[in-house]
Amino acid sequence: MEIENLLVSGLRLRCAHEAAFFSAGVIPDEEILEDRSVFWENGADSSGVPDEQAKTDTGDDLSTSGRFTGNLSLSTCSWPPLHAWVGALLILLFENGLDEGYLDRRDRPPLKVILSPKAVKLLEDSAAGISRFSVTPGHICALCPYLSWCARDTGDSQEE
Amino acid sequence: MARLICITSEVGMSRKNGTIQLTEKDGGRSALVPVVQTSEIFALYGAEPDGPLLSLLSQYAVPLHVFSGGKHLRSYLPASAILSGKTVLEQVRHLEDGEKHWLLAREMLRGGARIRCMAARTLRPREKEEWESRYLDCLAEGYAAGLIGIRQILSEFGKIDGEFLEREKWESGELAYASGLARAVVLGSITKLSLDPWIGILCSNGGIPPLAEDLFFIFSPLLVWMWPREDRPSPDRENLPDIFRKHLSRPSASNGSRLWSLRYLPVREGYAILSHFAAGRPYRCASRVGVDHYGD
Repeated sequence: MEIENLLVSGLRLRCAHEAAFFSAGVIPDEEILEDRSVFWENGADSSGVPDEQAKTDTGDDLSTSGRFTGNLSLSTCSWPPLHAWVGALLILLFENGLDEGYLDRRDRPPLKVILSPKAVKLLEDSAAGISRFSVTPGHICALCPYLSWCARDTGDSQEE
Repeated sequence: MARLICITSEVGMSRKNGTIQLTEKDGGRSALVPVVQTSEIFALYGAEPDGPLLSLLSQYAVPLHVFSGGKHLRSYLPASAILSGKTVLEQVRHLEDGEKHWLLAREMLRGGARIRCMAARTLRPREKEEWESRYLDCLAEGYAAGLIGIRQILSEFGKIDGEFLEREKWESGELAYASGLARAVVLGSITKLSLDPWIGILCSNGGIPPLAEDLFFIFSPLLVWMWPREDRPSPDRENLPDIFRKHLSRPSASNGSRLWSLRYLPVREGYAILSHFAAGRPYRCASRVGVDHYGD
């Protein structure tokens, strides 16, 4: 649940509505509901091993990759979108007094995340309770997975 | 991609090496089903799951529904998918407020009437005016009755539904089976929502959690009435799993370019309710929902 809270805070850096949707457990796409590829990764080691051992193999150890010794790294999943993980990593960097870290992505090169002065300002604003709302639809909304949930419901079905 | 699994013989269910082991009661054949490839299980001819298996299903958020002789016996529903206690608090706060509760209930009644009109128009186009007029009259009575009269109005809707289904020539066994399967689908959807299923909006009691009963009220015309006429469910029907999966995969709603199947309509509706509670979004019941006639 700790990572859930971190991701909610990460999303809130971009849009409070998006954070509220994620926090409420809303998933914008039926395919994401059915996509259990994350479990496949962990499931591979649970098939064919005794149940007692499988019980301990419930998640990835963040230090297993060993590729980023000395830096903060976070292993991402397919859901939520990357910007949530970027936000979460920025918070971790800020809290730990670090300047840069990595997002370890499956099947893709790792992403370097730098805590820039702009990001620090964003985090300070967030800590002071100044949250961002995407009031005017724009660039941020166009990239948001929840766009269709936020959009005003116009022209309904024919029987109305 | 995870799959909906239908089991077509009576089985014992246990856990073996992190997978699901099925053992046939008659014959003793056994099979292993990977839990990570499974999204929901319908045991159509009875099942006896053991404790460790239920724990595994709970860990992977896989609902299990047990049927026998065409009747829905019970469902095992994992609760681990519930993410946020905040939404439950919002749900309670919202429904404790009589005015807010009524606005939500009123919208749900309207959605239920709209879906019924849509189904009647699709299934019995020549009689569409008759059914539309009856359902809209019932809705108007509901609007006038307010929160206190909801139970009575639901009963009125039920009477009209019964007459419609009689005219559609549903046999009681087939109807009970289709209703059981639809209730199981709705119950499965509850496990994907951060809402308390025991706090309903329209219903306050019944055989299943009230919130699931609410969703069943809205979507039963699509999940039950619009079942392919030639292939209505019965325990003797060998190809039932294929027909059931095909029925549930019918495209039924869209959010922008994203399509939602019939199976996930209750989840989508739950999300709309969640968005209303948690983010203050206006709630529009069964928004942009539409199912074509089978074969169209």
